[in-house]
Amino acid sequence: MNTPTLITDDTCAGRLRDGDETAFRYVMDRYFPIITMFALRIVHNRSAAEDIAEDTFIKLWQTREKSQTFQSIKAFLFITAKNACLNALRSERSMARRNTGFVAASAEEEETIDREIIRSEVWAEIHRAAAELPEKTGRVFRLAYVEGLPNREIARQLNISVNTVKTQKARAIELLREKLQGKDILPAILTLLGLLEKLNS
Amino acid sequence: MADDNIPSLLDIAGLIYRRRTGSLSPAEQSALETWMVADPANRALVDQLSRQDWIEESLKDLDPVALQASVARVYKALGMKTTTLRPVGRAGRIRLLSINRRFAAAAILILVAATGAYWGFFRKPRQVASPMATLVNDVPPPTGTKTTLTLAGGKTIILDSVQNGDLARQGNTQVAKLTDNQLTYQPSTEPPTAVVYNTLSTAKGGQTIVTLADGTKVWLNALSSLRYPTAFTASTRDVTLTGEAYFEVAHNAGGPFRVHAGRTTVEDIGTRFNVNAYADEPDLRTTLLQGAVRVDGRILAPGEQAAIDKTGQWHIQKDIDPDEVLAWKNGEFVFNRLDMASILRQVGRWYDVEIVDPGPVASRSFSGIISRKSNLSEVMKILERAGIRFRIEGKKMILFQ
Repeated sequence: MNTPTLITDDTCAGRLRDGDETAFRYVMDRYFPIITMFALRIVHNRSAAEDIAEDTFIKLWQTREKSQTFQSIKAFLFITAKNACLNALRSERSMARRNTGFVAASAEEEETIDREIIRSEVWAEIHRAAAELPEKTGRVFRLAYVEGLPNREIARQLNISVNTVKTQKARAIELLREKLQGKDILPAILTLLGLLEKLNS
Repeated sequence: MADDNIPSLLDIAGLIYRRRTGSLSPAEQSALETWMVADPANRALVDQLSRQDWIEESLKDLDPVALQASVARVYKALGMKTTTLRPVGRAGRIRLLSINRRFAAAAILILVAATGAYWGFFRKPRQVASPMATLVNDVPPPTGTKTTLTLAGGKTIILDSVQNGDLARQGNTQVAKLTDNQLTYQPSTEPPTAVVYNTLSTAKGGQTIVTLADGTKVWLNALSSLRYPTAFTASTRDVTLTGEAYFEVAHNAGGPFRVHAGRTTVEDIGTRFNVNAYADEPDLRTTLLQGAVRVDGRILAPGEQAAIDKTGQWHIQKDIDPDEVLAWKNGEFVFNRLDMASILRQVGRWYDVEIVDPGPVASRSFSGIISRKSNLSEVMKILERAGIRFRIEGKKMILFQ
């Protein structure tokens, strides 16, 4: 069902413009959780956030002819979601105002939303780095740190030696280090992984 | 709307991401520095994104199952095929980090979030049969309250099928159904007549909320019943429970509130507590959220849970996670290293299915959070990570290895 060529950031916009479903799925995989999280942090209501994210991606597909670059796709997603969030807040507030006479400062709100966009985009970058680990390393990484299996069990499942598991885990960390290149971000991941490790020992 | 700045926000994110790697040019560095000094909140954000716990912090509110359902709705709306989550193979006893919900959520999310790209890299070489193949009829989440009210004379009212508004008059108390399917008992100012009892019962997959004549609010879980007087005249307020309920008792020093469940009596001293008294659960569990209660004469402190087994043996557990105990009321299943047999009993009560032969999987434990608004198949897909396989035949769910 998928076209054989791999979608990349560079080819995505062109393929999406041509109506390629694979390109749309590529954007979904990369950005749907991020846009949902973004909306949730602003509207603080799970089902409202889901609606916003869903509508945003449906609109992306409906206006796919306009996509220029991957950067412009991302900008479209954040603009659309941001406006939907503001609308949701406004209608909530107009109801509250009837009761309390309360009016919020809107410029401040916009700045807050802008910072949430930055936060979301940094998170998207980390997310991508983790997803791009090569196959074998990625498999060991996921079994070890996401499913939390002990080395022995990973070795059994993948039919490799415990030593290979250890090597691949080290390699995964090393690759993540290279990908993230951020000396600020790496400790965060290592701490998270370390915690998971402790839980499983 | 002023949306021209979004590309520059994305640029700033890129700068933050590449910061201090040496890959920032002096111009980029000073651009970021300028942005950081422009507003203390900007600097705070950069600091926050450098903090150690920000990854899990950013994930804690995301419900992986809800996310999956949300993704599926997009594909469905656009007439595209939904990507299903592939099972990763049998992991045996799953140890999904149950130290707290945040970590569990983070891990599941990482697992679920990036289906396509992720699975391309992480998939096992061995092809595992899709769980969906074994699913003949999926079971959607229940709708409505599935609640029956039995009045004093024995007349029954199906709550889902009556209009909002006054339902009946019991003695001098008015019984009404409110807009959100809640039931309420309004005592009149006239002195109550003789005490009469009503019974509220829920079927599998049902849930309801009732405010009693004394103002006490009760949440009733699936397959449960509550018998109560329509007005409180005696010096004590006595109700009888089967199944599970959460009570927010209106305090009245002169009239203690008592819940009778099986052979146990829970007496309130002004408080919020949950009683799980399902007959097929090994223990009758009373959990105190706030205030104080007396369980068969013994006083519990907030956060404590008293478990009494069929032989009358007592066990008190401290530091109970309220989110786990009240998950049902909040529309979730929250499992914290819970054994599979208990999980399946909860699932069966909600989706109105009979679980056939949990067999050897019964003792495996599992941790995770799943919305009660999910289809049964979505719940099972998650449970499959603990190594179970299943198929649905009518109202039966048959498990196998």
